[in-house]
Amino acid sequence: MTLRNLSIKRKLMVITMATSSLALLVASAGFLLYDLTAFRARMSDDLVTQAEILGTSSIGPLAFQDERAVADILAALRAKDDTVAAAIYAPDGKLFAAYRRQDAAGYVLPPGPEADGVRVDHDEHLKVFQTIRLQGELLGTLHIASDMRQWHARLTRYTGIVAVLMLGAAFVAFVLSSRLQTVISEPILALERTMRSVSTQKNFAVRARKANDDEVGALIEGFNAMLAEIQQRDAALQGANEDLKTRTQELEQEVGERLRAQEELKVLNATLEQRVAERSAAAEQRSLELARSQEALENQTRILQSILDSMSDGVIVADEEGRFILVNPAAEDILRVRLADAPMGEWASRFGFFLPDMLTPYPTDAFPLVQAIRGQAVEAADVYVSHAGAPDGIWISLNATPLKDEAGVLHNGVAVFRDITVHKRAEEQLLKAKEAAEAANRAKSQFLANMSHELRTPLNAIIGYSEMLQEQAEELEQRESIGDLQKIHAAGKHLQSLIDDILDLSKIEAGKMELFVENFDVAGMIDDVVITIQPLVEKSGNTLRTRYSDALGVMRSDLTKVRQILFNLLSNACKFTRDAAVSLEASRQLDGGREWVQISVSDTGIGMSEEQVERLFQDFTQGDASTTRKYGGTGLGLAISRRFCEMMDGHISVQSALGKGSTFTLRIPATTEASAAGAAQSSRITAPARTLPSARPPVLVIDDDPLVHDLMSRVLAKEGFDAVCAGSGPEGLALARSLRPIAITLDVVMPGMDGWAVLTALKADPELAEIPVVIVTMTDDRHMGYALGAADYVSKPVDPARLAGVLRRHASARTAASVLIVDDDEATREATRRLLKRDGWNVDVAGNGRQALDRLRVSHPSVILLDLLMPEMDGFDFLGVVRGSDAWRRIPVVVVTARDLDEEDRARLNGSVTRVLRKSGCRRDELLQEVRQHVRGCVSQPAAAG
Amino acid sequence: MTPPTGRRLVTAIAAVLIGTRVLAASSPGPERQAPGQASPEYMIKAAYLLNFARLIEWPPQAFAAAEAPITVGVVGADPFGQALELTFQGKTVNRRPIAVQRLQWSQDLRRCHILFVSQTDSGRLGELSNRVAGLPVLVVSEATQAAARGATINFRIEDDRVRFDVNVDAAKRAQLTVSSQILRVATIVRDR
Repeated sequence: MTLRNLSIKRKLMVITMATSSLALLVASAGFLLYDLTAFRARMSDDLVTQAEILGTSSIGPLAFQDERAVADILAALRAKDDTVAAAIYAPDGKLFAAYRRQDAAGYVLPPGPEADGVRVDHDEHLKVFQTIRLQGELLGTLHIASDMRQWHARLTRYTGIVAVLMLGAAFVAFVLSSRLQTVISEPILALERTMRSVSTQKNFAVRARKANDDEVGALIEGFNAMLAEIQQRDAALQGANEDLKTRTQELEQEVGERLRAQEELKVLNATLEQRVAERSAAAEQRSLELARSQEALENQTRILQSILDSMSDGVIVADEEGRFILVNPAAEDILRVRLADAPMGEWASRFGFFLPDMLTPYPTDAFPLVQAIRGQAVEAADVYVSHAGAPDGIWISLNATPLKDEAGVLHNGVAVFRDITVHKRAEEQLLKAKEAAEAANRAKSQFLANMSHELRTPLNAIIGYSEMLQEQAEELEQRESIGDLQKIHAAGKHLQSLIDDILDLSKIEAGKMELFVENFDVAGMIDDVVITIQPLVEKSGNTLRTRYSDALGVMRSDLTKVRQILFNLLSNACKFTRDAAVSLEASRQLDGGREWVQISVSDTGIGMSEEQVERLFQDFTQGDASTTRKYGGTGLGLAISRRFCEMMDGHISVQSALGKGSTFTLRIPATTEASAAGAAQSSRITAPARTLPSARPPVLVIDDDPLVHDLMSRVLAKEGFDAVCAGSGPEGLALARSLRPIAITLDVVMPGMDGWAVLTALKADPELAEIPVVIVTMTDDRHMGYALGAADYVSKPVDPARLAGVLRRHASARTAASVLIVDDDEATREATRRLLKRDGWNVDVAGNGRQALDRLRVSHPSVILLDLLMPEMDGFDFLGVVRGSDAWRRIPVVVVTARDLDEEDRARLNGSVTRVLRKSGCRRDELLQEVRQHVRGCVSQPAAAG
Repeated sequence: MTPPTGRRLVTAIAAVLIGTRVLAASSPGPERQAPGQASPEYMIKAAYLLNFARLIEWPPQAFAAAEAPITVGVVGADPFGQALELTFQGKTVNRRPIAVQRLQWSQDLRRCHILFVSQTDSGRLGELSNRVAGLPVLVVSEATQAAARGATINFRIEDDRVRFDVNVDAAKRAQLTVSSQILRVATIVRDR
């Protein structure tokens, strides 16, 4: 019988017994093994400790060779039962001392010391060797042997204990397992019994008893649940049959109830009909009230309608479909059209709405009423209306507003408009009148400009010819005609100044006077005026005293006007004072955060009364009407001066007492803020003049002494030459090549390359050979210089006048320069021609721009004097052609015109002319000076001449 | 104590019998030892001196530096021959080398750590102990009853073996700590 087929009861017992016995056996064996091993280890440790103690105590006896003491120490081992033997070996390996237990005859001491440590010898003895040292020096080796008696005894004892324990444990396990196995086997057997009864008796009500809550318990529970399910299904089947019967009875009962409800519904219907009748009566009452309020509303509407009908403004209400919901009579009257419904897009074309330009049909999206319908209010929009019914056009001013209902929802737009045709017509006329006035104003300005030209041109001829005739008469000694000619000349001059003054004044009046602001040196300006006025001062027998500091500096103002004012004041002073002193004082002052230039002119003349002073600066007034006759003048000078002053933010004042003379004080800001246009213009007209191609070539000064450079520069500048200085010969040669000076002044004695060498080099260079060289030296060696090709010789210290004369002669004498005069006025042309001819120039003339161009094709003038206003081709056009041509571009052009240049003219001349001279203001000397200068500039520029 | 003459006789016989244990007591005397040689007795005494150096602790101030040598001085007559040099060669005590100095009585003896006074000069032992009184100097002698006369350790011959007395009071006076390893084999002597 194998284990498998044993009953559960037996199986459980066998398993329990086997398992517990085996476990006990393994545990006991493990414990025994551990204990014996540990015991042996303890024994070894004890032995080592003992050896260490013995070794240490035998250090001294060994060190001092005391055998007896060593023997005593070993003998102490007698107390230990298991020590078989002990020995100490000397360092040479010989036995030194030994101890042997009496009964331990079986142990043989090793013949010599072995390595330190513990070892077991055949499970019989435990042996230890321990060396004994004193400070590293070997004194000997200790050996102790111990038998394993204790260990063997322990082994035997423990084995016995284990055997006894095993037997006891087996017995207890048998008793316990035979009792305890019922805990598992009993419920299973009970279940088996129950199952058998269920299957045999088919009694599903029987239940197995559940004893424990373990797996067998779960099995029993499952079995019981299965039985319960079967039992429940059985019962449910019977119950369902019962239910079916009850349901049938309930249905029959429900049918009866429904029939009763139907009856009740019929009763309710009858009540409802009665209520409807009551409600209709109330509604009738309400409609009566509504009729009354409608009447009131109609009343209000009538009032509004009559207002709309009687209004003079047109009112239109329209919706977004283009339907005109409301149009009052005035609306159609004004528009003179019948407003029939039309889509918004067709309004402009159908009713003739135009933009204020009267040409463009009003765009639908921009039309005010359309904008209002879309929610945008428009105010006072001008609309032009023109159609078959209104051929002359109607102007309306239109306001449009969106119309919203109570809820704020946009529905319509309303337009209110009135006829403004009359206003519009008046406006148009006003505009036309204004344009006419402006045109008249322009015509006046044009007239002024023309007048200045037309008046000055003949006067120029009168003055010019009278001057020339005077000179001729003087030469021919025709005394009687000299006086007459002087009168003509004086009258012409007077007339000229009169015209200038009147024109100036009228320009000021017309607001046409412009400021041309530029920077200039105040002292230089005063010097200029003083030189100009000098003849007048001398003529009146006066002396002019000037007093001003060098600190006057630069001022930014209109140079021409300041000069004119100052000139006027000085000439007045000379006019009213004879054989006395006229003084001029100038200073620069700081006042009210602004810098001022103050110039006062005093005389010791007739003076003025207070009354006269008051009238002094009024237009067309002199101190006394008689003065005009006595002293001449227009009486406009001071008025113009005052106006000019005011234009420049300055003022002019006078202090005077009758018979004691007068002091006129002029105060002008050092910096004038001109109108932006005027300032820009002036800077544009002045700036390019410096960069013109005809900028005159300089005189080259070659000298090693810087002081000479300075001196020569100043002398030459005074004489109208630009100077460029070189400090040595080579530098001078280089500059001569790059600048092509009109003349060279050359020092002879210089370090390095001396003057003679430089002169030789200059003459050897074909390009430079033509430049006249003036030797400036202290040595007197003329022959040498001339022999080498010098043009002239000036000795140091230099006489400025002589140097200038020499330079001018050599600079200008080199070629027969020609001048082309372009002027339509025969008299002017002729006067100028004669003047220049007499100064030694070749002169060519042309009557207008076209002729001038013809002349240019056959000759190449050194300079062109150009009038601006000419028939056929005027000066501006001529300039355009000349400046556009490569061949003629470099010819300097001096404009000589009677026309007052305005900003536009200046802009046109900008950069293309060298200088502008005004005919009336242009003195003969000035003209000659200009021509000379430019010709000098040109002739030394072969490129330009070619 | 046996009279010295008798013991010498016994020693001589024992030396013949044992061989290696023959002591110098029977030899003609230290003065007649050929240079470079050493008698067995003094070889043993030299070894003992080395062991004294190893097993006696000097106070720290006795040395100038951690590895300063231990100086062994032989005052007056020198019975060792080359024994000291042979024994001390290559040996160190606590990393200190051992230096040997042979000194005249007139020299400064205080710089030595161990002073050896031979039998010959034992008459001046009292003088010596006065000169090094209170200093950490180990005075070793070989005269009879020397330990009671100022020496700290006194060699003597007993049963053909070199034994020694230690005057623990003298050691204490010299601030020397004597190891129990020495005391275990020595005869302890105290001041009277």
